[in-house]
Amino acid sequence: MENQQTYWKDNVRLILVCLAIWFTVSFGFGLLLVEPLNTIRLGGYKLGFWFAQQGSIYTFLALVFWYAKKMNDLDKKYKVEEK
Amino acid sequence: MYQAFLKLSRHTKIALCVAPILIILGWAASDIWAESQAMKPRFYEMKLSKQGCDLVSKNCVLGSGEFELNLYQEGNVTTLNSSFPLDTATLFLVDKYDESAVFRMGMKDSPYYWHRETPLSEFVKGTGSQQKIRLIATVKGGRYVGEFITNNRVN
Repeated sequence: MENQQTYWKDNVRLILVCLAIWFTVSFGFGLLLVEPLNTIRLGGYKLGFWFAQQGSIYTFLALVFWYAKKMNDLDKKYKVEEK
Repeated sequence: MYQAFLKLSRHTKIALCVAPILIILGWAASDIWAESQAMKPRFYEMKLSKQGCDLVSKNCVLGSGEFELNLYQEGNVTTLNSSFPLDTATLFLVDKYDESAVFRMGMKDSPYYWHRETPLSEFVKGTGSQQKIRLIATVKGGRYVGEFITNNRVN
């Protein structure tokens, strides 16, 4: 029972980290900080614009697989992995 | 494709299903936020291009970033051509006592073109004639303001 609770706690913590990254790249870099980031250029594109158009999507994709890997590690740690 | 999806771990499947929902939520929320920001009143100063302002030869361009306005005079009609659709356009002819006559321009066919009959042709007649003009154009809550002096180079 205690194991289940700590597993759930770790799971929720991981989801919160993912949501924080999701918010930072989509709203933070793409909207709120777009002007200061636009002073930096990345491959000819303004960085704020690039995050709003492409960067956030790339980060979301990376986040999907990072989350899955971390959860699989958690499964192994708590011995609840898929057979 | 479907078989490959089934082979993924349960966490990858969940993450792949949740991610598009978060992307759509983020897109909708950012659209609402951007719309509300666009409606806030903001002021931008327009600068005259380096060539100066010759209304008669249609060479009077004001700009602020990517936003550009071209003002020109044909007979008694003053016309404004904008790079973005305008909501309103107002012209002020300023005399030597800094008193201004206001001319609210009307839309001509599309929000990119605005015109109004003005006495401007009388003031800019002849080479070297000058006239102080103020111009206010509004675009979705943004106010583009410019003050400049015309400088005719042709009759």
